[in-house]
Amino acid sequence: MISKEKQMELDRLLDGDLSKEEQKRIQVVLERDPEAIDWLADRAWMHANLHKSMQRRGLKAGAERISKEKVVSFFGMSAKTLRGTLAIAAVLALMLTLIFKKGPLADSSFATLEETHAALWESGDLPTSNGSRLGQGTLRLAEGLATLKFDSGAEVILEAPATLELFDSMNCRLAAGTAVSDIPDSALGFRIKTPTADVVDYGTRFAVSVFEGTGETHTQVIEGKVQVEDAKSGEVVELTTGQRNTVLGETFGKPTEGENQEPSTLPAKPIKHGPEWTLLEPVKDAYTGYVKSHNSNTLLLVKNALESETITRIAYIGFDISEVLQETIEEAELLLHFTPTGWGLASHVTDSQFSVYGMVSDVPKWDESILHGKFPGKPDTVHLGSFHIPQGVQKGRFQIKTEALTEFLRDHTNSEISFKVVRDTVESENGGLVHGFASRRHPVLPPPTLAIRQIKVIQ
Amino acid sequence: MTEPTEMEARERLTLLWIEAEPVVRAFVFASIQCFADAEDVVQKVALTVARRFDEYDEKRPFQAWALWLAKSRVIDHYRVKGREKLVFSEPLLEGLAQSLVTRQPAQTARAAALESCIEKLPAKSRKLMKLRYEDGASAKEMAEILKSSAASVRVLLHRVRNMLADCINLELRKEAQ
Repeated sequence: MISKEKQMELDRLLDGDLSKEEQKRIQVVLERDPEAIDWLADRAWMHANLHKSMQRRGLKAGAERISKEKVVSFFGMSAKTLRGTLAIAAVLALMLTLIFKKGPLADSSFATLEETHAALWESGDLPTSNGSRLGQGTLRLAEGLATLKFDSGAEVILEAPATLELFDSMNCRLAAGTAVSDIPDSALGFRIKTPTADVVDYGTRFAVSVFEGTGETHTQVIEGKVQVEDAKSGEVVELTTGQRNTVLGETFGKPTEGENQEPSTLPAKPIKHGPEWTLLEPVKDAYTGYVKSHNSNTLLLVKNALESETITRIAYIGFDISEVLQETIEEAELLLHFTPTGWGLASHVTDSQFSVYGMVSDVPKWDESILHGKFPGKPDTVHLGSFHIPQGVQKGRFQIKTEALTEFLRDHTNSEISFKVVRDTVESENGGLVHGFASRRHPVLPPPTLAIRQIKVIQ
Repeated sequence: MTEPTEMEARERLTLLWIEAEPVVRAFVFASIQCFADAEDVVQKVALTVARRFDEYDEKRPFQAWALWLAKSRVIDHYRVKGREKLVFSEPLLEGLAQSLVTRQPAQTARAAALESCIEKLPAKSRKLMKLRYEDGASAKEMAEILKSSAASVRVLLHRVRNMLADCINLELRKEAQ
């Protein structure tokens, strides 16, 4: 039972009567207490439907003053009365007639959704099946990649999570996410607007990334030339092959690396194994490889760079299995939770294979101080298993569950186990996606987990 | 199995929406405090539901699907507003949606119970509800009108809502017997 004070605060929350500070506090309460969420859900139901009912009563009474507020949605009538039901049916029928008969934007389309990879769409107002013709409207790609071909000839690969508004065959607006564009001569002047910048293309391949919330815009020219205009000051800069630029507030114009930010992630489903399984969390984990401003303390970054070895990232995970009777191990699984890192282009990395290796013989002592640095020494390793992540997919749980892993754990002579996780697939072009999975320091996602099933030993 | 005809699809959507609308409304009104904005967003959800009804998988609960669409619309609303920030984090929105789906069955009966409970309210409490929900007055504005303090108005609002909640539960229990 939640306290009276909290109930009062939740009522005030619904009434929009809390200060920003109070809102933050109540959010923490809700995050910790499922009972408070349930109470709020019940109250919100009454609050919302009281509004509907009182508005309808007001209308009935012919009160004049409510005309200043948008009052009755077309579904805002009592579902219980026949009149209400008929009204709803009539409106829905009208809407559906429009939607079923005409098809959305059938006559004013100017682009085609050519192909998608592992795409998951959120509510937008455009069709999302492959081959769909697109007119004005918004596409929201929650996961994966989608390729759009504009009638002007411009091709745009959208990398999730992304929101793209389509205006016509030469103009669109990227509200969030990354768009990699390939512009032929026929589409010179193709324009991508963002909340902070206006990027105009002059025959090139380029990538634009927008960070939701800040509107920060990164433009990177892969080949050719683009012009970036600061939406606020009108200042213009031209970028050529290999150059990049960041626009945010006062920061503009310098072709710089720019700082990226890690997108927030949703909590993942908990790992569910039966009672016969022991779940171990790492005692240490880190990754090697360092790029200024492109690092993380909560994710283990993995990348196989095309040219420079220094920016190749390899993850290392250490477990202590001293609590496990090794000879009783029946099977084992290593689970990793991937999440977007915010760095690199997904379209520059094809479907990727990752491999997990176990370190054998003379494993050098290592700790988390190697993070962003180098692994001490080159111990022998044994391949324990591989998994695949399709192009465009950046989050989800991936695992290996192999006989090799089980044997490795059973036969290992030391209770400290070290794994190495590498991406076997090299990026197809520079600036490819950096994959990342949650480390033991991640605030929300589960850490790398070693699940071990043992034979029951009768004592 | 044959595809449903256009007419069958319309009827199905109408029935499903009637049951889901109060829950969607609750979700939107919890996330957006301004009544006019919340009404706008409920309308947008209704349109999206109708437009995308052919994507709805009958094996999934309709309310959960409609709430999933509603979540995007709420986030859109704040994105457009720019300055204002989402009151709830995304995981909290998920939690709220889940709670609404599991805790709010029998929408038609519940809505009927609410109507009957409003009727039973004492005149003073009705006036309070009218000011808040019909006129859209804030606690401060209500205090001015009622020549009271905002703090006591908040307490009164809380009490009347508690009365209504108790009454609804009683009505539903009666109906169940």
